[in-house]
Formats: sequence, structure tokens, C-alpha cells
Amino acid sequence: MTQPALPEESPLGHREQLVTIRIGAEEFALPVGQAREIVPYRRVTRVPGAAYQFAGVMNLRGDVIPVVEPKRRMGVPEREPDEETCIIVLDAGDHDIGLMVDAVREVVAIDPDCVQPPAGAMAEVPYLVGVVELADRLVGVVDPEAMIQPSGVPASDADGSTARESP
Amino acid sequence: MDTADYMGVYADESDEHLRALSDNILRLEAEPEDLSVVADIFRSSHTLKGMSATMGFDEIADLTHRMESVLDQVRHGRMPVTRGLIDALFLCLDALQEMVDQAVEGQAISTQTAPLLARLEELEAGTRGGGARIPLRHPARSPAQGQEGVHVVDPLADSQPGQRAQAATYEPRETREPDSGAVPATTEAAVPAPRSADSKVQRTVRVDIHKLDDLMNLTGELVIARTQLAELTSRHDVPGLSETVAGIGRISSDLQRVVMRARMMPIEQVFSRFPRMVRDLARAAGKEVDFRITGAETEIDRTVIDEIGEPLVHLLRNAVDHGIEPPETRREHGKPLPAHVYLDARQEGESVYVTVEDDGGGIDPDRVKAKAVHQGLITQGEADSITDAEAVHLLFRSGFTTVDHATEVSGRGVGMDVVRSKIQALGGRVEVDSAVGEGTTFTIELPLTLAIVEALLVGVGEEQYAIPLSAIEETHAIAPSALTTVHQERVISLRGSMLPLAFLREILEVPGDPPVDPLEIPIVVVKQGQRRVGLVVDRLIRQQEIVIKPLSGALGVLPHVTGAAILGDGSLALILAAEDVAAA
Repeated sequence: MTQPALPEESPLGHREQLVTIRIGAEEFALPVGQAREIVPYRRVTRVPGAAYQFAGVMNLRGDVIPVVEPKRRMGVPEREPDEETCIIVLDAGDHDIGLMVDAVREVVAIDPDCVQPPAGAMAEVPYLVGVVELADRLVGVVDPEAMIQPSGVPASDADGSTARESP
Repeated sequence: MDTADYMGVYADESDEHLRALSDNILRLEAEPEDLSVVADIFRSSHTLKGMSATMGFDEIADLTHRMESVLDQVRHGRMPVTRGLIDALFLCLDALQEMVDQAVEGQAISTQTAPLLARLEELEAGTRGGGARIPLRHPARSPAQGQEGVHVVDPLADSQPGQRAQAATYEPRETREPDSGAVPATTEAAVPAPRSADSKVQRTVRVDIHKLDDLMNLTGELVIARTQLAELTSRHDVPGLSETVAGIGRISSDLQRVVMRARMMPIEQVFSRFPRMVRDLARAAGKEVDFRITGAETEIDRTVIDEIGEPLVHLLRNAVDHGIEPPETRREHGKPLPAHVYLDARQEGESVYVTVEDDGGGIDPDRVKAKAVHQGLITQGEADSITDAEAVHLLFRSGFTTVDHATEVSGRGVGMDVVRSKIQALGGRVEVDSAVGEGTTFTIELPLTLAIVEALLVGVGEEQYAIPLSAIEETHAIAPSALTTVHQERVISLRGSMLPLAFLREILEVPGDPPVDPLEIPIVVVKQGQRRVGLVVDRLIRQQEIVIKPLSGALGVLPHVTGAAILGDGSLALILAAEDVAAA
């Protein structure tokens, strides 16, 4: 797993901004630059037959974008959305994808050098790219791109059982 | 000069000329004696040369220059139209396309043109020695012509007296020096001026397609806002308000129609590449195919233009590769040679029909059935009871593939579910009609305009779904007691015939429980191939115009829905693929 795209350090001593989020009982951080925007929870419409990690789709100013419920692949019980629930809109190539989180807590500025690679069991978690110490606690840095992927299975294999003629 | 400003125009115009080149080279292949076609090819090539030289794309200019030089010989009857010439021209066309693409993308041109230049020069040199004409229509020659490599004109081959006589009148021109690849491409004086361009003065402007897309999206949002406004209006009693809202409604409908019209393009945009493709496929497969296109001027929404190409490639490829029999087989069966493949487009009412028809071997329903049983799609009992038409329709079932060998079942199973899902995503349907030994016809029906359709909103549990009216035959409310079970299938009797039912709640796995002791059960009757199926819902909500929004491919393969619609209150209703749901 590679580091998320952290901006190059400037000669003046660059500080990387992270936004911390809560999913279930755990706190995570992700680079602010990777979030296109953060919107309060709005109705997510279930899509029958969609890949497992998706809660459904939502209406974002007239665009219909998929929303991932990360708790599904994390094995954390899902809960009813409340006033703290937010959707982080990520730029996923040619379209946007929403990531449902239980709360957005704060934006912190850190020295990118302070991000340690995950160790031990944490190194096995595919979406964790590092660990950072914030004030009084350790927080896992996530790669949101990895969070929206189906767990373990490369997307191309999901339906690869049938042989099909090329184009 | 800042070439970037002109790049868009260059891209558009070079595209037009490349397409004209492709069409005309094909025409020339079919009618080698028609020198007016040569003149057309010459003109396109000449214009492309001038444009490319102006933009500083010397490689393109050089190649077109050399093409012109050869074409000039042909145009003046000093050089015959040979299979080798046609092949070389097609190769040049491919190279030109590649180079134009690179140029338009802002990349450095990397295509190697030297072998092509040499080949053209070789052809031209061949003329000087009195080239051998290979009459393209000569039937005796046709089998050998299926091979690559017959292109070199042998100066020692049987030269014809007529050719000699003409060659004798030929006068050398200064641009035809052997090293003329280096001649600046802009020497206009060296070549005759093109005939006056199309004299038709068109009162049109070129508009960036993205601006049209934006316009349509905005119109779509206007429709949504209008619906919201209408909903609000019903709750407030302000004098004159409802009339004003109705006026806005009319204007936005008109605006929508105008924008839709503006987005329509001739389907020729898609069809134009097929003659070449079919020709290449036929040559590669050793088949003799006469490919005809009709109705290319039929206009259709630009979204369809973008999406319809791939399914049509599939259908045409299958027609040539698997539908059409090899020439020997056709002769044995006394079928005409060359075989026919027709591509037709026509508009009827609010639909556009595209048909792909071949007079090949057809699809054997028994083999399709056997395959479907083997793959567990249907039981042997079902196979015995379905009609031939229903059997052939099994081709479109997802999961029906001819994995083991592409030529099984005339090879038609391959990728047909992909074709169908693509067409359905466009709000259309595809039907197949086939007779063993006589041929196969695929008919694609597409809505004229895509983004906005009339739909019925239905409710299941807390969820709402939209069913396009085009898929609906009728709606009913039945008493729960009318429901019976026949062969483990729930059915109702409707006007004396059995109507199988499909419960949306179960198929879509809607959370929650069904309504307890309903007085009546609403049913939406939809077509599913040859049969009709009743979709059971909890409630019918209303009929309304919806704006179709596509769903992200990230969600995976969605068997039951084709898109989403934004309703007046901002919530979403998923659009059902009625036919798929009914088949589930």
C-alpha cells in the first residue's frame, strides 16, 4: 500500500492538513486534499443488486452519486444516521463517490514526517496507510480510495466467471 | 499564429475528411471504374494536406501529399485501380487517423510513415513500367484477393495494350520526383485546385458538444424545479399563481424539446466506420459479404450515438463471423454470393429502430435450448415447453454464454447479454428474429430522446421505483383472492389467460414486511420478450416525466435498475429495467 498523495514539502516547512473522522467507535484521519467536500447526511437510496460496500446513491445538487458505507467492510455494526452523520465526497476519477462517516471532528495541521507507517496488525488493514500522533492520541490515517474498494476482491474479478468475446 | 485556437476546428474538419476518405475508398473498391470517386478522394486528401501543413503537422502533410501524387495518376487514367492500391490507401487512412489523433491530443506524432511512403512510391513506380490491372469485379480473382500481400503491382505481369497506350501519353510532373516526400506540402501550384467546395450554404454554427450537454442538464434541472414549484403551488392559494406556474411548465417543455432537437445527430456518425470494419472482418474470415447501409441520415440523441456503437459492432461482428456461412457452404446450399448484411435505421413515432440483418445460417433454437439447459438457465421441462422464438430469446439472458467454443449455437450467444444490457441502459429494447438456414435479424428499438421519459412511480415498502411507460402494457388492481399458484408459479387469471406474477418486494429484496391484508394488490403488466408478466407492487403513486440520471459503474453490474430519477422533493427513485425484473 502506498502513501496517499501528500503534497510535496515546501522549503518553508509545509504542514499537511488532516481531517479527523469517526467511524463506529474509532477515530481516523484523512488528508483534507482528498475530500472534495463534506456534506451533512442526506437520504441515501438503496440500490438493489449493488456491490456490498455501497449503502446506495444520493442526490448531490442534481448528480446521483454512490455512497459507500465503510462499516460494512470493516465489520463494524451499522447504525441509524443522526445529526452528526456526514458524507465525505471523494473525487474517484471520472465520478464522485460519497463516504459515509459517523462524525467529522476537526481539521489538524501536522508535519507529514510525523506520519508513521502502520505496524503489527495494523499493517494488514488495506486502507490504513499510516499512524499519526495527535495531541493525546494515536490516529490511523486512511486512504479513502482504498476504503471505497470492495474488500480484497479486485473489481475486475467480481464478474469474471464468464468468458466474453472481446469488444 | 496560435494554433491552439484552431485545433478544435482542425479536429472536427479532419474528422470529416477522414470519414469521407474511408467512405470513398470503399466506394472505389466497389466501383473501380468510377474515376469521379477518385477525384473525391483526391479532394479530401488535398484538403487534409493543406490543413495539416498550416497547423505544422508535416508528417500528415507528407503522407497526404504522396497519396495525392498516386491518386493523380489514377485520376488521369494513368494507373489502374488495383486491390493493392485500395489496401495501400486504407493503410494510409489508418496512419492518417492515428496521426490526426496524436496531433489533436497534443502528442508528438510517432506514426512511422516511411514504409507507407515507400509503398505508395512502389505503386506509382509500378505504373511507369505498365502496371497490371486487377479488375476488382472479376469473379475468378476474388478468392485469391482474400489474401494479404497481393498488392504489389508486378511490372512484368500481363500488361494490357490499353494501359500502354495511356501510359504513353503521360507527361512527367515536377512533383513526382522519387524524393518528393521532402517536397514542402504547401506547394499549391503543383496540384490542381480542388473543385469548388460544397455550394450548399449551411446556416449552422459549430457548438462544442459539452455546451449542449450543459444546456440539457440545466433544462433537466429546470424540469425538476418546475415539478417542485407545482407541488408547492398546490399548497398555497395565491391568485394567478397556478396559471403562472402552468405557463412556466409550457415554456420549460418547449425549451426541453428544442434542446433535445439540438442534440440530435445523424446516426451516420456511428455507421460510417462499419463499411470498413465489415470489409476487414469479411476478408479476415474469408467470407464474401455485400454490406449495405440504409437510413444513415436518421437522427438520434447524441447520448445514443456515443453508446450504440459497441452493441452494433457486436452484432455486425457476429453476423459476419458466425451468421454468414463460408462461400463453399453457401454454394452447396444454393444461396447467393456474396452474402448480405444490412444495417438499417429508421424513425417511427417516438422510437428509432436499428436493424442488423443477415442472410446467413440463422440460429438453431434447439441448440440454444440445449445450451441453456446445460448451463442451468432453464430446466429440461421448460425447454420442452417454450416456443422457438422464446428459445432464441434466451440468447439475451445474462449467463447465457458459449464458453467452450465461440461457434457453438452459430456463435450467437457470445456477449448478447452485454448487448442487451447496453441497449436497456439507453431505455431501449432488442429483439431477435431468426429462421434456420435463412438468416437472422436483430432489431434495436431506442427512444428518440433519452434523458426525459414518461414513467409510472410505484411504491414498495418505503422505496419508490420508476417504470418507464414504454415498458408498461397496463395496470390492474386485483383482489388478493384472485391470486393462485400453478406449478409453483404465482399467477392471476386476466381476461381468460394466465398472467405470471413477479413480486418486486422479493426480487429487489426490499426491507420490511408486505402490507397486511390489503384490499387489493396493484399490478403493473410489462412485456418480457414474447410474454407478459405482472409486477406486484405495494402502491401505484403517479405518472410523471422523469429526468434519467445514469448510475455510476462503481456500483457493479445492476441487474434490475438502469438509472435514477430525481423527484420533485429532491429524493431519488430508481428506474426499473422492467424486462429484467420480469425475467428474474
